[in-house]
Amino acid sequence: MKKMTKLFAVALTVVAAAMASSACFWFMHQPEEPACLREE
Amino acid sequence: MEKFSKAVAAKLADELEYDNDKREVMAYGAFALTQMLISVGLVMIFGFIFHVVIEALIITFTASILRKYSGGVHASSPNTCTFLGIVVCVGFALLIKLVLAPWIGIYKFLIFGVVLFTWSFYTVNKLAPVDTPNKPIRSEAKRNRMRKGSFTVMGIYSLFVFINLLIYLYFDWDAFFVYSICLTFGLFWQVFTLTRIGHLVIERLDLILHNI
Repeated sequence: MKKMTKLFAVALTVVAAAMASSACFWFMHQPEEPACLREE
Repeated sequence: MEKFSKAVAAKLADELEYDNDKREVMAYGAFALTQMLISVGLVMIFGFIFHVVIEALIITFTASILRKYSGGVHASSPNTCTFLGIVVCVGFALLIKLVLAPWIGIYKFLIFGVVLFTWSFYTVNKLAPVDTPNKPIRSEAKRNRMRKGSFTVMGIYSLFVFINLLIYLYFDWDAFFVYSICLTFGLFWQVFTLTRIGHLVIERLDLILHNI
């Protein structure tokens, strides 16, 4: 069960990182990007 | 949607004993995934109801893939975003399939397409990437990368339209002509959201929906 939880957490992190490397989120709404993902 | 994503991330972070940074990243990822699934799901449902699933999905993915690189105007909430997305994608898919495609013909479409693609390349060159206060683009390197990505994606779209038209001409499959128009329209819509007029239109619609 903990393995599945960790896998899910990793998947969400990968999605977040993929979103962070783009200019925009999906279609027309952009939530605030976490500070640790920002490219300054 | 945001509350749900934060709740999922909080539960995961508690179970795995992650810090606040990781919790925020997971919430961001959960939100992305949830919004994508709901948006695409609803476009598919409404597309199915109006018999324009493929056309609506073409417009959705054309606009959103380019949007990853070019940015553009944003709705103020995920619900407004989803609603506008459905109206634009399904609405225009219907308009294209029932009205535009039977009327326009290949020659008019070729002229229209060339003009539109030229305008799109010019506008993207001038304005992209368009960022937002929630996701500012501060590094010049990222800005250049996004611009380059926008041109690459638009180049690929040009190729897809060309291939679709060849299939239509060679096999006489009308559907591919409709797909070409949908692809062109998806590109047009996304580039339109980069412009000042696009910003005004979306902000006005956002205000109206917010007040309903």
